[in-house]
Amino acid sequence: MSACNWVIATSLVFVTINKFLQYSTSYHASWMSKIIQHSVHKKSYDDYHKKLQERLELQEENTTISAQDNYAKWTKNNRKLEKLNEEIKALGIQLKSQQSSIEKQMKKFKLVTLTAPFIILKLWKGKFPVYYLPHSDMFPKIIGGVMSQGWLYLALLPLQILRGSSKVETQGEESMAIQVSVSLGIWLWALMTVISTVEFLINQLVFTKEVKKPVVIEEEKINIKAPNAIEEDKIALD
Amino acid sequence: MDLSVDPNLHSLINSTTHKWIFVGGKGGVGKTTSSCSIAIQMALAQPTKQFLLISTDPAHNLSDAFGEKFGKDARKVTGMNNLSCMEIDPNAALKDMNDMAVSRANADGTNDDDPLGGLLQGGALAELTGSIPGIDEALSFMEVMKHIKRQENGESETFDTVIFDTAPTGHTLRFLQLPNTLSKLLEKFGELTGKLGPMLNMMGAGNVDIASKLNELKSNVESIKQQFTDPDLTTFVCVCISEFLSLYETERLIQELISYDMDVNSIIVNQLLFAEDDQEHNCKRCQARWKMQKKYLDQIDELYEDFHLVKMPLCAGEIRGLNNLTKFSQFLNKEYDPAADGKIIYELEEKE
Repeated sequence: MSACNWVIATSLVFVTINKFLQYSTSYHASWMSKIIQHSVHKKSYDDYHKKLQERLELQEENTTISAQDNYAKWTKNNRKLEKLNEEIKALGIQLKSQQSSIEKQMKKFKLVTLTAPFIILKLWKGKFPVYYLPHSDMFPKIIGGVMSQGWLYLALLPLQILRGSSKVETQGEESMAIQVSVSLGIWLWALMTVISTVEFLINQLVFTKEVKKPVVIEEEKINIKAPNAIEEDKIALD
Repeated sequence: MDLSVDPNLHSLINSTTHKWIFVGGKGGVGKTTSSCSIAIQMALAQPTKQFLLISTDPAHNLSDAFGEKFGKDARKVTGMNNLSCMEIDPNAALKDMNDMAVSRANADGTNDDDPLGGLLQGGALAELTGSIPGIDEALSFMEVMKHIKRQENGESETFDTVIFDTAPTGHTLRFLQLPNTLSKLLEKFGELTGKLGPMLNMMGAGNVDIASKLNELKSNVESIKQQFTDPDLTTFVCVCISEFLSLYETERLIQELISYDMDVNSIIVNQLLFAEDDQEHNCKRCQARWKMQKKYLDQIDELYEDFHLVKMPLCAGEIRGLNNLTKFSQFLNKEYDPAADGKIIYELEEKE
């Protein structure tokens, strides 16, 4: 029972984290920039923002003074602006490369801590019986086999038919009662499918805006008559 | 320690190291007059050396400035035995190239029925290449390369210093960018010919070894690039007038030149009125204009404090002919003093 608990609990934790990351995708960029702000690259990030602010101030100052009357000041500002633009460009490239390196690290971290362990768990404990069906004949034999063995059972079925040994994995043979289990792999697949369906329904019912039925307005017939238009395709005869 | 810079071009005029001097600025500010003046002063200050003044402006003015006709070949200025002038004529140079191509085609035994030969006979190559943007600058650049080669080979008529009367800013910047652009282009070509060289030589290039030709061109371009960025060999003199647009363009030019690693430390401010010292001819309009010029002069002083700022007067007549140019050019060597030199600006001879 304790084994059952930890396998299911771990699976549920992985599913929950995956779903949380999926729902929060739109916030990842801002989290990333917050991470950079407080990471080892804080200095270059602060420098970048300081220079942006400085550029804005210089641009504002240059718009308020007359280039003709304060030519020296205006030109000095332009020189500073040009220098700042180059520095900002260089810092931007540096920050971008730092951000992409952090992103790569985060992806690696996710792979190591989440994706890989979850896959390993599914492979290792894929056939782990989450629960047993009350009756072995609740579903046809093949479905029972898929439930207890996973999708691999379906793939190996032709081979088993050829060998003449198509049988459903049973548990607790000592009790002589043939029980069909629901394996962890199938249970997780079913769980994910249910969650996706619920997500779809909630999305459609709550978050999708209702499209109003278009109102058809009867078009008014516009007759434009040219000044010298021929009204009828007939030639009046005397 | 006094760190102020002389308000004249005395150090440049007496410089024995400078090989290339560019004179440039906005159109109509007096580039030709200034370049002629620099050339004359250098030729007078260093009589044992030979100087060449080249106009790279497609709209040549050297002939008008000296009052005598110059062509695509260097010719001495009448009255000076160490100053020559030439005006690069893109059309004539292209015509020469076309004629060379025709004679080569004839030498190879190509008959008149050959469509390519027929096309060249009509000067099509010259017409085609003449319409390529930047061809004037490219031809000027070729002229520079020719001179460097002549100097290296020790051929006759070599010049110690070449002064360029350049075209307005945009053209000049394109011209000065050419060594960098060509260098990059040749590097790419070098990579290509490294891979395809033998094949190219087999495919109708005849006896011409493309790879070696490219390498030769590349070394020439590199040599020019190196010389242009050496402050002992090359410098740029900016010419402007004391008005907003001219100053704005000068600033742009200086920043670009700095980005090319070129030496630029002299500015000639032309056409100044010095109205307050001109008691005899002091009209209201001159006063107002001088006030405006002074406003910008103050700004120039503030902006370019480490530059040689040469303030030149606006003369009463046109500065044409060797005599007038010589009189005017003295203020490049020793700065103009409005109180003492004021009468000179009315002494220019009228050229017919």
